[in-house]
Amino acid sequence: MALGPLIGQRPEPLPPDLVDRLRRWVRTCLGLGEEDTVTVTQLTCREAGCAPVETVLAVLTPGAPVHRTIHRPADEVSLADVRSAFATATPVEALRSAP
Amino acid sequence: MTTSIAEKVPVTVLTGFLGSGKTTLLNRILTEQHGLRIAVIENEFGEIGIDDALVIDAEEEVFEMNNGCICCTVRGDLIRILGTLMRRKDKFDHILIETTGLADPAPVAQTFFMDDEIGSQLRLDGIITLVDAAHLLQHLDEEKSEGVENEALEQIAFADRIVLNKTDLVDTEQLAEVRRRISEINRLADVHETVQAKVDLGAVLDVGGFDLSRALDLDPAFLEDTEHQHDLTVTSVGIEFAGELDIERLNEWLGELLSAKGVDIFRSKGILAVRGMPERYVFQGVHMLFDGTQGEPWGEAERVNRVVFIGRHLDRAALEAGLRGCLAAPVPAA
Repeated sequence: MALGPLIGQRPEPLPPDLVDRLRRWVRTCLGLGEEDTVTVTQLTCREAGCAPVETVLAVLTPGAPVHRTIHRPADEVSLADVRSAFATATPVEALRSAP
Repeated sequence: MTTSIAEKVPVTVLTGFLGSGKTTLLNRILTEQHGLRIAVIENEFGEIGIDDALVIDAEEEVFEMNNGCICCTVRGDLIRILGTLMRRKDKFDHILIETTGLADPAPVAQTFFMDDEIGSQLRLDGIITLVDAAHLLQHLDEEKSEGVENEALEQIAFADRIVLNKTDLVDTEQLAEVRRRISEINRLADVHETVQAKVDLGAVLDVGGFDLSRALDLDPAFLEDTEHQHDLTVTSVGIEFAGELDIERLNEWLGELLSAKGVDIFRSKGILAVRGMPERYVFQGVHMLFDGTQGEPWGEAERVNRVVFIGRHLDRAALEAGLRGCLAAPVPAA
């Protein structure tokens, strides 16, 4: 009998090349450099109305962090998804000048 | 390709209140002949090299991430520094993160859950908390303003291993009281009594506190109730009962529990018997995040659920009733 993962359970860590790709896309969309910290996490969610696996992309800039959740597994996330998710995020110049 | 657990570089978090002996222990780790090349991340010095070790300065950057389902805090500075270290990880056998005496261990631990690059190449081995035997009770009983955390309490609650230092400065009676108070807060952590932080480094650098294959090494004392209760805002609750759990009920209950109480549940660990799963389900968590996997098969062994929660304002009766409510319906006789 196949059992799904429990709520909140973290799936296996993503392959580094996939993490690199998603991180590169976030940097491209926000005009970030290598010095900016970008995290990529895939989480299992069992809440009603949520996708079972979601991908959380975060930019940890002191003073102005921004993160977005894309409701699909990381290997299905496209550049268009990332662009759309961060469309309302503050571009890098503003992030850096934030207090 | 992700790295296997054996190949991942272990990371130890060293925490403890000011004056507990952290610096003494750190100096021992940096100078003793243990054959390990260690990178140390801490808040005190600039970057300096000591023999085979590297000491890197970190500034605590805590970020809260709330994506609706999961709310957690992570350390941005650690993600950046660990990322740099991973690019030269062939040069290190172990990474040690020293926190300030006032640091909350949660963001450090959750950082390992919330970044997949770190999770694929490093493994959090354990949280070691140093405690000053002579001053712990004073720190634990310190009155805090509303909303202000008692860091000494939290550091003990989060620990996989506690180094009870400066035991030469207290008498037998006081030492017993200190040990009892520690046990009230955290039933899972091993306690090592020391003078001048002279603890076997193997007991500090190879803990396996977040290793699911060791999640079941629960001391039988985890079930004991506390007899002489102080103001136990932070406690351990151990639950054990036989029977198979229904996966859907379990998911529903866990979802509600983590959503409502995830902030207050510092750590959790346990083994569950799930109907339809021939193996033990082992898990461990930090606040709302947790890892779980299928462990050893039950075989002929009795299916017994054993769970420990460590946290603030835990309601033992409600937790046990909730978990028991996940029991699967009895299988009708053929």
